[in-house]
Amino acid sequence: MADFTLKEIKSLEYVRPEIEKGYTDHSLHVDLSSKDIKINPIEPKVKEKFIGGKGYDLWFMWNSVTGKTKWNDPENAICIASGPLGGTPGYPGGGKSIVTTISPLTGIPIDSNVGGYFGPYTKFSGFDALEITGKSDAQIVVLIDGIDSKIKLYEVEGLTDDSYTLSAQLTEYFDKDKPVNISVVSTGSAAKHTELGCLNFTWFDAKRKRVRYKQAGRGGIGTVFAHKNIKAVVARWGSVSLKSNNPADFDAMKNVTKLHAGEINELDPKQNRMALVGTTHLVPIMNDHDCLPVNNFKYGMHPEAHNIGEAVYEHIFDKGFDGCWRGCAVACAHGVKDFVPFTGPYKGQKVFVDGPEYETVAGCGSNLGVFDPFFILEMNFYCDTYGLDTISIGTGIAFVMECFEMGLITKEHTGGMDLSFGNRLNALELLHQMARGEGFGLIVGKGIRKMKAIFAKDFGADSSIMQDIGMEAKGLEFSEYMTKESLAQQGGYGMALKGPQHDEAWLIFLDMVHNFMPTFENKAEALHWFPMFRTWFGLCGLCKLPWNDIVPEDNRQNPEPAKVVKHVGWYADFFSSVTGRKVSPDDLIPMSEAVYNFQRLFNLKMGYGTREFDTLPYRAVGPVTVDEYLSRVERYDKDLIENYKVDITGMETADKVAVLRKHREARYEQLKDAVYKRRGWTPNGIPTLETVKRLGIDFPDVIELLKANGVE
Amino acid sequence: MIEHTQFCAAVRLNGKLISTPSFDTTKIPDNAVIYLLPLIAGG
Repeated sequence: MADFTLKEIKSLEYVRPEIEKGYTDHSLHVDLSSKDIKINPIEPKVKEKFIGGKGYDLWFMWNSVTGKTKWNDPENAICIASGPLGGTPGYPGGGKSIVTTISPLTGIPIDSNVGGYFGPYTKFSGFDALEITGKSDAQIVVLIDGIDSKIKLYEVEGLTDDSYTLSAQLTEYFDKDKPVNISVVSTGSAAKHTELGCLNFTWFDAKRKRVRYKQAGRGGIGTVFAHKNIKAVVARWGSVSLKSNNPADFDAMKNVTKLHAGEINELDPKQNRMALVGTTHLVPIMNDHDCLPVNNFKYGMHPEAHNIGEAVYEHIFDKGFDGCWRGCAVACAHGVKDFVPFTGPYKGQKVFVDGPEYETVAGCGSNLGVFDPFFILEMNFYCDTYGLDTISIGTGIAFVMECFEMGLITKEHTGGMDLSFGNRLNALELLHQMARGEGFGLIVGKGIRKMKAIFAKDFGADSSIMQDIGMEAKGLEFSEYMTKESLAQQGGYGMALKGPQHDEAWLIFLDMVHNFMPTFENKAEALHWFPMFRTWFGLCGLCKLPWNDIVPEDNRQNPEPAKVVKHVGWYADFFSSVTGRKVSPDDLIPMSEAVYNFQRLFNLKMGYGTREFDTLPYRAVGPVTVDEYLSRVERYDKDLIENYKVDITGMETADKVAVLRKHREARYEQLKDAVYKRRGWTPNGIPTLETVKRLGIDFPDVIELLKANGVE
Repeated sequence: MIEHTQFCAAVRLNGKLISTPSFDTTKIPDNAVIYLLPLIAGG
C-alpha cells in the first residue's frame, strides 16, 4: 500500500431516498468551493420532460452555467447520472452512466456514455444524478456511501496521479473486505496538462480480483475534473438484484430481460462475437469497405490492417466473461493481462490493459500508420493510466504526423522528434510528455483546433491546408470512421450536437453500402430518427450495442430493418415495466426529441448552435490532395461524370479535385437544409418556436434565448 | 449463391469474416457454415 492520507473535512449523514420505479427522485449536489453538500428533490415536471441520465445532466448544467461560462469557471458542473433503467442486472447494456460538462475543447456541453458501476451505485445510494460544481483548493475525494448513508469529503495527500493505481488503492481503502462494493471515478496525470482528459469508471472484477475500467472519453471531461482538484469520486453500494430498481411490473421486466439476454446469448456467437472479440471485428470490415482511417483519414484501407483486427485480438484478450455491468450478455469489455510496456514508467512491468476497442485500434493504430497490435495496447494502457481520450489522441497525433510529413512542422518544432507516420516510439513519447507536462506533447494535448492556430501563428504553417486536414469539428476530434463516401455520415458527424462522435448517427453502411437513403429527404429522415433514438439510451442509463449490433434472425423481413423494430418494442416494454409509465415504441422518439433540442439550444446559449458551427473539414467530405483522389480515382471520376454531369475528358487531376470539392461542399449544405427542416429548425439551424412549444421545452429563458437569436 | 445478404456488410464463412466486396469472388466449400452479419447501424 502506497503512503497516502485521507483527511475527512465534511460529512453528511442522510436518510437514503428509496427507489421507486427506477427513480429516487433526488439529486446530490457537491460544491467544492464552499464544501456544501445538498440533497435536492427532483420535480415531477423535470422527470416528465428530461427522463433521466443525460436529460437530467443537461437540466442541472443549464441551471448552473451562464452563456459566458467557460470550462474552467467554478460554476461549470460535472454531472453524472445513470437513468431509470440503469442498474438492472442481466438486462444487456443495463448499467451505464452519462457524464456531461462544458468541454474545454468545444465550449459547449459534452456528453459521454460510460460503463462501470458508478452510475447504478450512486442511484442505489439515493441519487438519480450527481452534480459537482466549484473548485477545491486542496486535492479532494468525494465519497457517496449508500451502505452507511453518508456523503463525505476528504482532503488527500500523497495519492498517486496514476489512474489505475489510484483506483485500486481507493477500492481497497473504502471496502477492503468487499471491493465489489466500490466504484471509483478518476482521471490521470495528463488530464491537468492537456485538454483531452478522460474519466476512468471502475468496477471490481471478482474473477480476476482486480479493478477494471471503462472511459468517459470524449471532450476533456477529465481535464475539468482535474482542474476542480478532484482526485476521485467514489460510490459504495452493496447487493444488487432485479428488484433493486423496484420496478412497477416486476414480472414484465423480468420477462423482457430474459428475452433480450436470451437472444444475445444465442445470436452473438453467430454474428459479431462481441463476447469474444469486443468491437475489434469492425477493423477488417471497415478496411474491406475502404472506411478504416489510415494516415489521418487520408486512405480507407491498408494491406496490413488484418494484423490489428479480431483475428489477432481474439488470441490476445484474456479469456473470461467481461461485462462492464452485472450480467450483461454482450460482455464486450475485454482486456489483456501480463502486457509488458516497452516505454514509460511501467516499462518492463506486467500490467493489465482494459481494451482495446475498435476506436482505439483505429485511432492509435491505422490512423497513425501503425499496424502493430502491441503498440496499440501500449497506447491504450498509457492513455487510460494518464487519463487521456484515445480517440482525440489518435486523431490529434495523426494530424500532427501529416503536418510533419507535409513539412508544415519540423523537428525544430517537435523538440527533435521525427513524427512521420508509423513512428511508434515518438507517438508514445508524446503521451509521456503530456503526463509529465513538458515538451511538444503539451501543444498536441491542446487538441487539433488549438494546434492549427499555434502551428500557423508560431510556426508559419499554412492555415488553409490545416483546415482541410485537421479532423475536428466544433473543436472535437473525429472518431474513427471515414465519411468521405457517405453523405449521410457526413451529416451524422457534422450535425452531431457535441461534435463528430458516432454515437448520434452511424449511417455509413446504410448509406454507402446498402444505398437505403438515396434522396436528401431519406437522409434527413435518417438524421432525425437515428440521433433521436440513440439519445434515448443516454436518458435511460443504457448501452446502445444490444439494440442493433445483435439483431433478430428474421429482422430482414421487417419493413424497416435498420430500426430493429423488435428491439425497439422490447425497449418500450422495458421502460414501461420499470417506470410504470406506459409507452409504445412510437413514444420513445418524442421523449428524446425534447432533450435533443434542448441540447441544441444549450449550444446556442453558449454562443454556438447555429449553421456555421456544423461545418466539416473538407477531408471528411472528399479528397483534399491529388494522391487522395488517385487512391479512389474510379469512384471520384464516376461521381463527377454520373452525379455532377462533368465532362472530365482531358482534365488534370488537380482540376478534378477542385471541381469535385465545389460539388460535394454544395451537396453537404443541401443536406443541412433538409435535416434542419426535418428537425423543425430554422435554415440557420435553430429550433423554431413551434418546435420548442410542441416539445414542451418553451421555458421562459428558452423563449428569451430564441428571441435574442432572431427566432420569434 | 448466399441469399438474404442485402442487409449484410459481411458474413462469417466457417468463422472467417468475408465482407461484401469479396462476396462475388469467395468460393464456398461444401458443408460450410455461414452466418450473416447484419452490421446495419453499428458503431
